[in-house]
This record gives sequence, C-alpha cells and structure tokens, in this order.
Amino acid sequence: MKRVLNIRFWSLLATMPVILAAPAQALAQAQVEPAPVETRPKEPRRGFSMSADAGFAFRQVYGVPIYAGEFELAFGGAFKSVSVYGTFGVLYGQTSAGLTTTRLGIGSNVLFPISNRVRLGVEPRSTILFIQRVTQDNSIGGIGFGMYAAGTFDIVDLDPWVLYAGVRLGADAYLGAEPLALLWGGTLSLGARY
Amino acid sequence: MKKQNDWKKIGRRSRRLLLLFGVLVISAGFAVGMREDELECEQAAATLDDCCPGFVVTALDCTYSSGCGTTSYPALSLTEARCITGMACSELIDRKVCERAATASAVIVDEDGGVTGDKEVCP
Repeated sequence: MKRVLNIRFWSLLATMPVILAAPAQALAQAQVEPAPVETRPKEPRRGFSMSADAGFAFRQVYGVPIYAGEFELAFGGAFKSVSVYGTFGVLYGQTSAGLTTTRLGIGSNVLFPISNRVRLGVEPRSTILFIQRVTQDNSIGGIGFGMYAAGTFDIVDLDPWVLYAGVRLGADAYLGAEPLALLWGGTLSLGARY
Repeated sequence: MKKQNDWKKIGRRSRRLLLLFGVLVISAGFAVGMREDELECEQAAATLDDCCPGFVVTALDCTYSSGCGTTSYPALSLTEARCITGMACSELIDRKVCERAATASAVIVDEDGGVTGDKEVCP
C-alpha cells in the first residue's frame, strides 16, 4: 500500500511541470494573438448635413476659356441611401483675354453613397452669368439652367466633420443667347461636410 | 425636436437665398441675351487694350442692337475678333492691326440692306 502511494506521489510530481506550464503557455498565446476586434464599418451619419467646398474651375463658352475659382455652400439632409442638399455657389475668374467672369448659382445636390468614402450624384443648377465688358461698364451674360454630374471622395473623417475631395462636370445653357450658349466644364474642389 | 429646428433653419436659409437670387435675376435683366459676336469682340478689345500702346478701348463699340429698321453689329466681326486674339502683340503692332482697330466702328445695316462701317481690321 505504501509502495502504491509512493508511486502515485512520484507520478504526480512528474506531471507538475506540464500542469504548471499549461496556463503560462495559454497566457503567452493570449499575449501574442490579441482577441479579434469588431471591424464592422462605421455607419454614415444621418440627419442634418451641410458642406462647404472650394476649388479650381475651368469653363468654356463659345470656345472662350474661363479660369476661375468656385465656392459652394450646401445645406440639407443625409439619409440611408441618399443625401439631398440645397446649394448656393459662386464662380469667379477671368476669360483667356482677362474679362472678369462671375457666375452665381442656386440648385440642389442629390448624392448617393457608393461606398463608405465615395458618393456620386447629380447637381441641377439655376445660374446667372456676368462677363464684364472692357468697352463699357456693363456685362454680357444671361440666366441659365444646368446639370452637373458630381462625385466626392472622403479623405479624412474628423467626426463629426469629414474632409473630402470633389469633382463636378457638366454644363449650363443660357436663355436668349444667340447662338445657344453652353457654359461647360468642371471643377476640382476640396471641402468639409458635417 | 432638435432635428425639426434644423429643418426650419434650412427652410429659412433657403427662402433667403431664393429671395437674393430673385433680386439678382431682376437686377441682371440687362445681361440677358448673350451673343457670341459681342463676347468675341470684347475678348479682342481686351487683347488690343493689352497690346496696343495708346489704344482707347472704350472707343470700340462691341454691342449688338436692333430696332427702328436698323441693326447694329459689333465693330469687330467674329472672324476679325478671332484673328486679333490669335495674334501676338508684336504682330498686331507690326501689321498695323492696332491702327485699323482704333478707327473701327459698329457695322450698321438699315432696312433697305445698306451697310455702313464695314471695315476690314484683321489681318
């Protein structure tokens, strides 16, 4: 009996390093492989939204190039599958010969999220164009209606603001122009959206 | 409640912007009716103003008007205006385009088809 107990004691003693090593090994493994973190993409913000963007614009009317800066403010709402804004924008620049050009516009932006960072949409516009004459103290221009395709790419998320790069391409047609005046071109911009 | 207030604010701002736009549309009435020949003439006038020493740009008539049986066209036709904007300053001076442009006047067509002021400027 004493012999049997003695053998059991020694067998238990022999397995001790294994028993003691197991939790240490588990701990080491836990340190090397951190627990998996929830990586689900962040839901886009919904509700009131506003944005402001500014950038370089190129337009052409009757073959006359116009180099300008464009600034636009937008107020609206962001929903699950679409964002809708009312906008006010100013384009200010010069024709190739130096005629000062101003275009004021109001309209709307309808943008659809394509991914977490990219939004594509359309931007209908009502605009007034002024091209300052050099021979007199008044302007050439008109009232126009236009349609632009637009896209934005979110660069940095600074919750609740997002910094984005945008592009818009399209044209305005001017009423009563002889012949039909199409102010066409695009804008590359940087903006902030709330 | 906060969302409702936000939407009310948007509505107020939109109405103000529409009002501003309406005022601008009314005040910009003179600008309606853009013409290609007027724009190209103004472009050429700006080029001549930059290139030609002593050129009095306000003496050039780049307007189109029609009424009482006569039609007045810009002093520089589309072809001449494009010819001027396509030339270098030195060419405009050397080829005496500056001199001829300084005396160019509006082209007037009367109801009988009579034309006055049609003078070649460029080249």
